Amino acid sequence: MADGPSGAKKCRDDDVLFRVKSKEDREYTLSKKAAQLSGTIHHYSENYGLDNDEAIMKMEPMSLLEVSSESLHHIIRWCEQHRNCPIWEEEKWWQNERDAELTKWEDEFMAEMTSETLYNLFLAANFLDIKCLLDKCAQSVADMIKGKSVDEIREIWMLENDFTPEEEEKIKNENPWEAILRYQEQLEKEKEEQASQPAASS
Amino acid sequence: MEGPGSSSQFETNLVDLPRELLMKIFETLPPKHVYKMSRVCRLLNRLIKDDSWWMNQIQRALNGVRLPIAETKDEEFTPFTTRDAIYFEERRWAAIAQETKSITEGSCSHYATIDAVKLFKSSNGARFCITGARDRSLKIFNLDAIKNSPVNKDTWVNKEKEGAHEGWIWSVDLVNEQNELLSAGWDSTVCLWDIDQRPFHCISRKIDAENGAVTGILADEKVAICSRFHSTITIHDINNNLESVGKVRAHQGAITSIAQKGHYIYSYGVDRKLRITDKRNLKEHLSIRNVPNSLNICLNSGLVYLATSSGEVHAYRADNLSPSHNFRVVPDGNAVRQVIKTKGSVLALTQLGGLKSFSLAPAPIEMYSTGKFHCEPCRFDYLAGDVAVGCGDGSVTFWHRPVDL
Repeated sequence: MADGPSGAKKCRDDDVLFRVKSKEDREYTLSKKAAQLSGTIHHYSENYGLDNDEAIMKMEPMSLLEVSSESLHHIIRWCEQHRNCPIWEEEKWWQNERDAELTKWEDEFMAEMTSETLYNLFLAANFLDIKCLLDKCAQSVADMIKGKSVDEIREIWMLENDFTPEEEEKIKNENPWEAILRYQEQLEKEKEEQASQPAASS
Repeated sequence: MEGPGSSSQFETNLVDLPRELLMKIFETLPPKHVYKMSRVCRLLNRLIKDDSWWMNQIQRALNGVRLPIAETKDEEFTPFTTRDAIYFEERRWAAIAQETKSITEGSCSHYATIDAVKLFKSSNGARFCITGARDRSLKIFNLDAIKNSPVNKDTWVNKEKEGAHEGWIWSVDLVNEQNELLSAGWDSTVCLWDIDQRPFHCISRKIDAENGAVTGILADEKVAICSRFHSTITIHDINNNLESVGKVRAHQGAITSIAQKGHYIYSYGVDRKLRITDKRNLKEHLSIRNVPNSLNICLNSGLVYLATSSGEVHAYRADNLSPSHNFRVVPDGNAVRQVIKTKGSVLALTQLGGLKSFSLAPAPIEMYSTGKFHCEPCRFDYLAGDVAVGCGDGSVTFWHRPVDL
């Protein structure tokens, strides 16, 4: 049952399906509500007159040339799970009221990802502008790095140590808190200067 | 057809991510950890050692708002330390909701309104809070004891001194971590205490009725700087029995609040003048008139913050006293009792909303509000995550720095 144009904005009708196409030309569908989580799709539908159910039902699939089928599959799962969440424009709603069940689902979802799928999902979420997924991906990547040594990070991300031995020596000896130390030194200096001034008098 | 980049499909490489995504990852990590990552490879080194990178992170943390120019132009400003401080403050205020607070009651609290609160850390890292009250006594609370033995209140007060003054105690300050404490108040007296002793031992005491009650006291190397009820700022030699070594008539009427930095003393009085006095010759360096009616000033990172009696916080540039920005804390008709600016937040004490913490920037976001206190809050202090609020009924409320920060 279609709500008509006025009701369409609220995305009450879950039966309306949005058509998308992956970079490998495979077609997928997702509910209109889920699709609206993506800023990119949101803008696309505004620009192409997909603001009512009738138009969406008649639409040609939207080509997502940057998104692989595998990533798109995961993206759709994510969006369907979050379809009842506030739409993409709302700032950081996902940080405020956390639904314990949804959080659990998200954690399980992320646990399934290998570092490659996560990497591609992250890029896809960026392209599709799905803010809650972007945040979750960033957090997951950050968790992989957190507390790791420089060598471990190189290993996880297959990064080459491209410093020359001299540079590396220099960096190793560099105190990571140089900024703070410099600042403290400066304060000390000022104090000394002040102390050497004659006492104030009227 | 496979697009470009498909060759790296099975090789996940962190640095190949677009910059905005790297930003996003790094902003969830402790800044110190991100700094460490500059040792991973050249690209990250170049990225992370760049000040504009940290400026960008600060702006993102502040929802796209830039820091006031006065703050970024301040000689002490470094983007990394500020980002680190903002990160700390965000987490500190997010954690406060789950914290248990400690309120002093009964024998360990004061009998009357507390007007002086000062947190400090001893050289071995132990945390203390000094309070001075209208009951004429000084107390030193041991924050670690309060946290670790919430039931055994006998251990809470580390040291105290009854009858420290002959009038209300209005202000206290520590002398350069030397175990020496300055106190002053309504009895026109400045006292220097050796707080290693139990009870405190009075090293020197100076009565100066001519200049009236002391509203604020600051320790500055070898001298104590006092704001006085009778329009003057007086300077006393700490090493020589607090003898007067300088005096200047800085305002017309009582001076209610002072702050200092480098060569300058900032003062605010009931004449609604904000004045900068040069310590070296005690001459006026600069002043502005008709600033909003305020209860307290705070000087930090290039800005002077005023807690106004109309419920706002007004910031002025510390170098030229031109207005920087202001924001409302509580509805008009409610005063902001006190404002403290830290490197990563602005804290304001009000009766209506309790203690509120705000993000930096001209358009701050309220990070947390404690809500109304059980009684009138008067004075607070904040030190690296620890909060102490002195109240009208003589009790002190503490929020301890969360362990995992």
